[in-house]
Amino acid sequence: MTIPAFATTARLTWRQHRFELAMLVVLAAIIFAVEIATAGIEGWFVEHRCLADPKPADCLGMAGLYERLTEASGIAVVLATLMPPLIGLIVGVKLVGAEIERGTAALPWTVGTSRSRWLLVRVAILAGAIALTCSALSLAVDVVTASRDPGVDLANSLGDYQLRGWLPPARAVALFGVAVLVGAAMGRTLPALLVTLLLSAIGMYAIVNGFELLHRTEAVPLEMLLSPSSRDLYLDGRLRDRTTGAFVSYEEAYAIEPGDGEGFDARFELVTFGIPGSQSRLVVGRMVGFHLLLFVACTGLASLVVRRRRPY
Amino acid sequence: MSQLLPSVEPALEATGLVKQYRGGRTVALDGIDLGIVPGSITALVGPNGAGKSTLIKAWVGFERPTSGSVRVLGIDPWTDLAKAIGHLGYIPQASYLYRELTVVEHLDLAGSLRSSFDRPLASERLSHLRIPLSAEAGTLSSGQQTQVALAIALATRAPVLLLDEPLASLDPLARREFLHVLATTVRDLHQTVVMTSHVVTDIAQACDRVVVLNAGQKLLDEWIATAVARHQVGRAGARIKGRTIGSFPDVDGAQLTLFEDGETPTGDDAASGLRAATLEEVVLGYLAAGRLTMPAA
Repeated sequence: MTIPAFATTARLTWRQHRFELAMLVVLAAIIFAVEIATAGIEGWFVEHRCLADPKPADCLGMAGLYERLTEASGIAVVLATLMPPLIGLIVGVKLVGAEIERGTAALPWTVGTSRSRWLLVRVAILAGAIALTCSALSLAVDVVTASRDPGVDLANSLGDYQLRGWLPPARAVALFGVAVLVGAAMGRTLPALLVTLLLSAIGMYAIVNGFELLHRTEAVPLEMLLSPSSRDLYLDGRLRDRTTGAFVSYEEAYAIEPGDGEGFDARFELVTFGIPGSQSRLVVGRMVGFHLLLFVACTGLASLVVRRRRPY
Repeated sequence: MSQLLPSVEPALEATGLVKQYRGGRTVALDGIDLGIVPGSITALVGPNGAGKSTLIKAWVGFERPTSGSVRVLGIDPWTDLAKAIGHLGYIPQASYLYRELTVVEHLDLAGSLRSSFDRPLASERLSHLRIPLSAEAGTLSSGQQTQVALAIALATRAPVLLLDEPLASLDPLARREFLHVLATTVRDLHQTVVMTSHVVTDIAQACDRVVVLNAGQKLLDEWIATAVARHQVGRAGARIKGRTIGSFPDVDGAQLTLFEDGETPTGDDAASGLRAATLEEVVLGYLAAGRLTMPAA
């Protein structure tokens, strides 16, 4: 495809999806502004020791604004987490589903000689727009997180890792891919949206739990690795027998040392297991990679569906 | 096929084409053999459910034959869709325009999809028809939308055009205009056209070949001039020699019968009401004959 043809496709794709995309951008701008403002105020509060009680005099005037911004920031984080994937779902379902439902797919499928190219170019344009917007939101969440926890090195932290960094954009793009596939297969917008919502809920639950299982197999005792500049991912606590050094279950521990008195505490210690924050690149990179693979797989399947299905 | 010259490769072909739906409970096409002569404008006529649109959709690669095959300039659209589509321009039965895009954006879209799209040709045609290029497609009348679709199909400069009921949404004047544009441009560009229609009277002037379908079967496939020359109608019950095709009611309620190579034994044509058939009467006669031979009809 030539550059002018790509530019035309991008312009027309924007025209066709301008409402959803504008919603996404406006929403992202509001959330971004709230997050950045909150981070700024929080930075000022920390700098002026305003979080102490009683507050210094110069902080009192800002306290009301700080409280309102903190509340707004909480809502903004929830919106920043939920809205981009939701808009990705709507745009994804519409991309092919609405074309088939309205009968317009017959135009590009008979004027253009490659249905796959028609689909892939538009998927790339919209996935790019969604990823870009979500990345801006993630950046805003990063800024807020940094302002709340100034001593933490975010690049080596797993605190709130599901809400910030590259994972939210990757998740939104993956859901967009699922929506494109379901929309193409069903050819109806509303049923496809409902099916995609259901599949996404099940899929995200499965992914989160699947990765948690994987993390559990890689978990290490965290007590010795805890660092003030890192936030680890806590997974579970296990009992260690101080006598043998072996890890035992509670049932086994109670069998060895009945009762939970001093003898129990003297014999067993609770050790927290998890993934150290220093592993965040591996943990997040792996999850991002998985979501991107899901997006590529769904887009590939959607391309196969589009090549063979009727445009009505 | 029988009417094709042996040396002429058909532009469009259907061989033993069967299309069934719902596990064979609905038969849309029942063993169609057809070859469309290159450079011709062929009217595909028949009642609703005759299989006209299904045949068009098989050529355009939207419907996969249950058995048999279709070809577009020798290419099977089901195995090489991109190549087949490259030879086709298509107008579907319902408008395929984007309501929210302007006419000029449709031309941009078509240009981005097909490098050979002749944008000036489409713009010129639409300007000539006084269709505002800046108007959103959703604000155009259905007749104007059909003209936009025709302009896009013509500007693909595809050698074969498949038009599915393009006249259905047009008023009589717009129909004439559409057929005039079609006939003149297609002749200029040496394109082959297959057009489905219910309106037989209009197509007689623009088309040069007619294929009559009913219940998925081909009843007639002939040059229009030949079909009209070979068929006569007379009053039902009159003594007329020739092959009887079928009887149908005239507008005044009298029953007419269509004959192939009909003549009166006495030469008294006036008494038997024998006269040359119009294309509409030829089609009606064959449809009536088809109805009689269809067990389920």
